[in-house]
Amino acid sequence: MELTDVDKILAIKKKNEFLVGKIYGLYRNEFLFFLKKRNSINPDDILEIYQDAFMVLCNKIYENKLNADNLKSSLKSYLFGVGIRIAYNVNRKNGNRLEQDPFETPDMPDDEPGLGEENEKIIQKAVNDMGEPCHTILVKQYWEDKKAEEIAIEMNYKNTDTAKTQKYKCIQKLKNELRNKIVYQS
Amino acid sequence: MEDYTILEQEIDRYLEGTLTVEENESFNERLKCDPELVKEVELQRSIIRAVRNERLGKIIENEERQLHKQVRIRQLVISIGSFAVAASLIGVFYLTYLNNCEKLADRYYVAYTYTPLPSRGGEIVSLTRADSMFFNALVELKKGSKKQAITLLENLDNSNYEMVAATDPAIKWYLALAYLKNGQKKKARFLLQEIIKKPNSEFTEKAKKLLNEL
Repeated sequence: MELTDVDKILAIKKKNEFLVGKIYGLYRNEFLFFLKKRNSINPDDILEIYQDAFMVLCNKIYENKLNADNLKSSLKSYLFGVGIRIAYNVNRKNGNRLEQDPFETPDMPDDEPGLGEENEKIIQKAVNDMGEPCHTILVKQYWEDKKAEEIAIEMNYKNTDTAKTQKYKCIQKLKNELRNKIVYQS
Repeated sequence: MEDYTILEQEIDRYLEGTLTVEENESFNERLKCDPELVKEVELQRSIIRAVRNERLGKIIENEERQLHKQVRIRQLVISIGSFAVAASLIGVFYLTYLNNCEKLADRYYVAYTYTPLPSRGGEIVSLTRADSMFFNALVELKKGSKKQAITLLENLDNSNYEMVAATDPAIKWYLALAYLKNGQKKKARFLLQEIIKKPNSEFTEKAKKLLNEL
């Protein structure tokens, strides 16, 4: 059975790992072919651009910035729009001349200033290398969407407050560690 | 809960969208005039994204592995299919070739007739062991045991056995037919050329005709 865009958004929101994988695979080849034809981008970078675009799409859904009510075109258009924007940024970074892009979508997300690509990489590495129990707590909270009560039971904490405190301590520890590593743009 | 994590709690609720309307308005006001708070919010948002991206990265990695596996299986199926088609074509071609050679040899095959001649004393000269081998070879050839016929006839062709019934051109002729039946055209052609070199043989004309057809 074919999934509608609403089904896909819901599957991503619910973090159904099987369906998230299938949705990733659904547009992959078409995007790679599409970008190969349109841009002078190194073919090795195209897959990475698609993966980054897919992650951006998922995060927009997790952060409630994209949902079934505010999606103006199709999920595919949105994903391709994000991918093209990333591709343009990659081109600009490599000093390539950019042509005017006729591809437009009403859903094109605004460019968020964020912390910058380099800082994001540093943060990603810190999270990947995070020790226990912090890694498990944060995954349970932000990926599995578990409530503090569930985390407390599963991780044998005394009560809900202890689980919550442990989670915030972990975030605080990470932030303290990262403050010395990341560089804020003025 | 401990107070020293109060900022993390507040940012978490802001990012989750669980602040009350008043709390949210107040937090937005603070963000407008506190650049340090903006940095804290961005950092915490990036940490949460990084936790999700780590899991998404694993899903993507797994899906890529599956996709590559599917491509490899598809390539393997295509390779096996192409190989099977090629092998079938070669097989059909070879069988057709063999069939054509065999039909040609059958068309030219005529049983060898030997009329015993009396010796000067009026006695019939008895057949030698080599003659028996020759007739055995012809029986094998007629039966369709091409390889056995070839072995026997090659043996006779390469030796100087004493023979009464069989002649050298006859051995070469039937060996050429046996080769042809077996699909060995080159060897058959060579023997036919050998026969033609002896113009008085009863097989010379037949050999010429067969050579032309080959």
